[in-house]
Amino acid sequence: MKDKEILSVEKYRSDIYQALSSCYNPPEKGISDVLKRLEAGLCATGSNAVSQVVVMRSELNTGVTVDDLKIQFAKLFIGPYQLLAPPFGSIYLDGKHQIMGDSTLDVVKRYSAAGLTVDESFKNPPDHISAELEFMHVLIIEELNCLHKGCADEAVAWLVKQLEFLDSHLGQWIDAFTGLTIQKTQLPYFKYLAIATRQFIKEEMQWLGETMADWHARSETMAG
Amino acid sequence: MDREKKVRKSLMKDFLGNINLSRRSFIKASATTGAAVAAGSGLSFELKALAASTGAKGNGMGQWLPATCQGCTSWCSKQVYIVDGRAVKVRGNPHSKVNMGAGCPRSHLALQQLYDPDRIKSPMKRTNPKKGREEDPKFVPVSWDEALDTIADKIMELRNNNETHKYMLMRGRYSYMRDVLYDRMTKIIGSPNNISHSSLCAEAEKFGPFYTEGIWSYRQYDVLNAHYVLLWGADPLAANRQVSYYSKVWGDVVDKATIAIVEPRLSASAGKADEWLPIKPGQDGALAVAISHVILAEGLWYKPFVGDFKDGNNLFIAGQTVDEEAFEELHTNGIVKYWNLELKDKTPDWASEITGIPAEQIYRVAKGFGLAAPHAISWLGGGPCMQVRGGYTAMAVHALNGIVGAVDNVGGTLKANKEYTSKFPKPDDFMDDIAKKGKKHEKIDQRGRLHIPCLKSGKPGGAVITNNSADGILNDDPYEIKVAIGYMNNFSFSAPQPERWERALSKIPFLVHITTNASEFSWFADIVLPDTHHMFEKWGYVKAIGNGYRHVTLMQPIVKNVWDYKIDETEIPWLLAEKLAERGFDNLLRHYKTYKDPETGKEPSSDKEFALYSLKYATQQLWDPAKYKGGDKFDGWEAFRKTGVWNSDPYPFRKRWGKMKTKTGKFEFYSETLKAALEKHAENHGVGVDEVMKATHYLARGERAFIPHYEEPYILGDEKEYPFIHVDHKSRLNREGRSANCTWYYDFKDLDPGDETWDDVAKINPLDAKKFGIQSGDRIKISSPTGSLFCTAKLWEGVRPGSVAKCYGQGHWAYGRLASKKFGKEARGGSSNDLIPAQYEALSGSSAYYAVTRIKIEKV
Repeated sequence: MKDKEILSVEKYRSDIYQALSSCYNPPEKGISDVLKRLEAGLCATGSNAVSQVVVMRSELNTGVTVDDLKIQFAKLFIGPYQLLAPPFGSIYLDGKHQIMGDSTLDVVKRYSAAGLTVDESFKNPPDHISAELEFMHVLIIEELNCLHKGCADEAVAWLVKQLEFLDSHLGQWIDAFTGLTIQKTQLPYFKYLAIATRQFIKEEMQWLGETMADWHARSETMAG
Repeated sequence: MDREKKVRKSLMKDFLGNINLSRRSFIKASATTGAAVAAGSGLSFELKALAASTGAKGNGMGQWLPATCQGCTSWCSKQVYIVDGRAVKVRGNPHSKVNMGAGCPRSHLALQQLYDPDRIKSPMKRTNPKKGREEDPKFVPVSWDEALDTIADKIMELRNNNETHKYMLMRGRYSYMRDVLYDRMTKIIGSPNNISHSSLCAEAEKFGPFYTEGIWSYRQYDVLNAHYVLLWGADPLAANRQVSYYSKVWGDVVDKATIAIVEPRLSASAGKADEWLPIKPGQDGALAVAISHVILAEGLWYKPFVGDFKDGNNLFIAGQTVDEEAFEELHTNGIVKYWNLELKDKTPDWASEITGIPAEQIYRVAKGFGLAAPHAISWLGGGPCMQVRGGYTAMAVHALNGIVGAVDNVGGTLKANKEYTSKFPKPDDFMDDIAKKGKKHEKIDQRGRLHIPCLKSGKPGGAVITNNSADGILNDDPYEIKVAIGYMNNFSFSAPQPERWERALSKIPFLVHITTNASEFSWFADIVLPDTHHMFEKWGYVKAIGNGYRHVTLMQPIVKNVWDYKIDETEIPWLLAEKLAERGFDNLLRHYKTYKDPETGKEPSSDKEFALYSLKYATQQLWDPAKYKGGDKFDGWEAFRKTGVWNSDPYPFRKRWGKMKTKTGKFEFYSETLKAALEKHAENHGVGVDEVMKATHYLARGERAFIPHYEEPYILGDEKEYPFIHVDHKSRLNREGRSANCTWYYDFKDLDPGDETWDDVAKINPLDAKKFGIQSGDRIKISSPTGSLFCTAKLWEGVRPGSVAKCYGQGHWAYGRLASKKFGKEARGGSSNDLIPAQYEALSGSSAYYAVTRIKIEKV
């Protein structure tokens, strides 16, 4: 029974990452469904970010159109003029306001180590926030698959990869990125998206950190 | 919420606690987890950004791949170090005999341009129908399909309404694949309006060489064999052309030759010269004719080229006319006429008063230059001739090369070597009646009207007059422009008096802009299409000359594209041709399908294939051994592609003496070629040549219209209100822009003499500054009769009193995070073009940038 509950919770985690990843693609008509999934996941995992998503959904019901979202999304994350909130890790981690920095190559290596590459149809740098969120989604799915198969040791290894990735990449720049988004957006929708993203990533880092610390402590005891 | 969190934590803790997992088995597990995606797993992913890896992983090892730099118009062959698909560093291509492995600062800036987060990432569509500088375009991303469908619909509307002439293509920076988009597409659609940027670039500079020796082109200079190099507003260590080559050899040139430079400000090259002649802006023609006077009066002309007096006595005596019969000319035409009509009274004393250069210095430079004949170069830059009355200065400066026999000679001035690229297939068979009729209309730039003869290569109305197109559009004269495409251009920044372009572009109902960074031009566009970067992402080629060679250097896609761009000159027109074919007009697509792969004979079936095949087609004679005609020999396309550059045979000196492409076949001091062109233009308008002179702001009347001569400069603004003459100049870090969003541009801005890092300064002589109470660091407003800008004052002895020098390049109000101070609102620095009026050297069509306006300065 407990195993089933774990599988369920982990599936929600993976759903949240996937939904958040979608939120950082140009808004389309199906955005309401994405937000519903996001809200459900955050509710099920007990995230404090859920309240922000509730507000985002209400924004959609109060006259903000998908076209409005698209215009604001472009200004924040695409351009074509100066990006108000560049959604690329290297901008924040390499300190040169350039894409494709050393940190980007490290992201590619981590994707590769997990058997992944950037899809040909994905026309953005590998450290675009939607790719990094999707990577987390994959890492959790892999963990789930191991759990399904009863390969607990491999599941733990995937958990470690999740923590390492957040610690080295997304978790390192999420504050700066969401800070810019909050500061620059003229639509509250993106402010709440940024707060929700930041809140969730912080919770994830804390939860994964504590969980792995517990496991490490126990491993040390067993080894001793 | 807290309850769920606690439950979740406890669940995982319990789970992990129950795992009998040793550290050793965990390490083993860690090592195997990577294969999971590729091996397949129970739960499936819904991936958008990522995919299972099937290809080879990067190994971190780099390689140097061939490329081409278009940071300016030197067009150097390059190599780029690529690691795992990422460009890391740049160096000169050692295989080029033109730039010989050398580089300059611009090429490195390309790396920052490539990975600029402000680049256009996908096609964008304007959602705000209102246009204007104050109107936010509200761009949203769209698919390539949607963007191209929209453009094709607009073109079809013109075709269906028999008004294809209302289509316009504006060309900025180009490769020699240009004709695919610029020429063939425009013609087959049915418009006369392929408008290039060339007259913003240098047409007046080509005017001098053409109407003396018949080459409408840039020259190269045999500096390593020269004994005297006399530079006129040219700054080869900093700007245009072959900066890398000249930078590499200049140390030797300094050792071997005397270098003198005529320029109102101390340029990078002036800093290395033996003589600096800080001339009053606009007076170059006076100096050129005075130097010519001295050389003739001193008997220093090069007799094996020009000829001599029949009795051997020099009759060129100041103030005296000479009997033409007394002189026997060899390879030139009209030396005595030139003396009689212009030179005989133009002594150093006369020129000194006009130019502000001491007579002794004029005499010293003239004599030194003459004594060095024929290994003496008179090197014409844009400054002396891109002026309202600069056409005859261009001739006078270039005529010096004729006088000293430096033309086509060792240690002299040379034309381009032969190369063997091919033109694309002709469009004629694909132009239907609509297209043929449409193309017959007058062009929107109004070239060829009485006041703008634009006499390219001897043909009235032959040259573009780019900046005048704005007026054509604004006044619907000769008609309205309804659909326009611009590529790699930014006329609303790079053309003088750019506010006119802002209004003109706002007026065009449907405007498309293809470019790498959204600019002041894109601001007015309905569709913005992301372009590839010339150095890393594009198939193409360019040609350049220097060091006695010509090279053809390839542009290749050598990095992994990060965003969703396409090649401006090939992929985009192909995709548009497909869209037009879907709408029942397949002429363009059928035409493009004739650009077959020379290796396989296969016709292109996609944009990618078209981009590659068309390049192979154009360059086949360089790489196909069966078609070999000269220069470097390759054993096939792959060998050429890997080397990245083809070199011509060495320069054949003196082959053109007596066979120049002028009316007389000779070097013309009395230009029968110009006479014919002017008379033809006058005849077209039913007037005499004197009326043409008057209409084009020239003072010459009668025979003087056909010889090089001095004309008082035509400078806008009253001296009392506007006490300074504006001196525009170019940076070492750009020539045409596109550096303004790079940090290195600002970090290294002090590479331009007198300039400061992270600032945009106007350089003012301390003597002038004292009179006006201005100090370095003061924020100032500079105004001309047609506009103003804000920048910082810099007191600098390197600028002539009475003039103020300011570098072109900054002052963007759009273009990116760095380029503007407050995006869309406040420019970083000021753009010279906001001061410069829209004036022309009308005989060539060239925009006038130099000695064209007076300015005033106010502290703010």
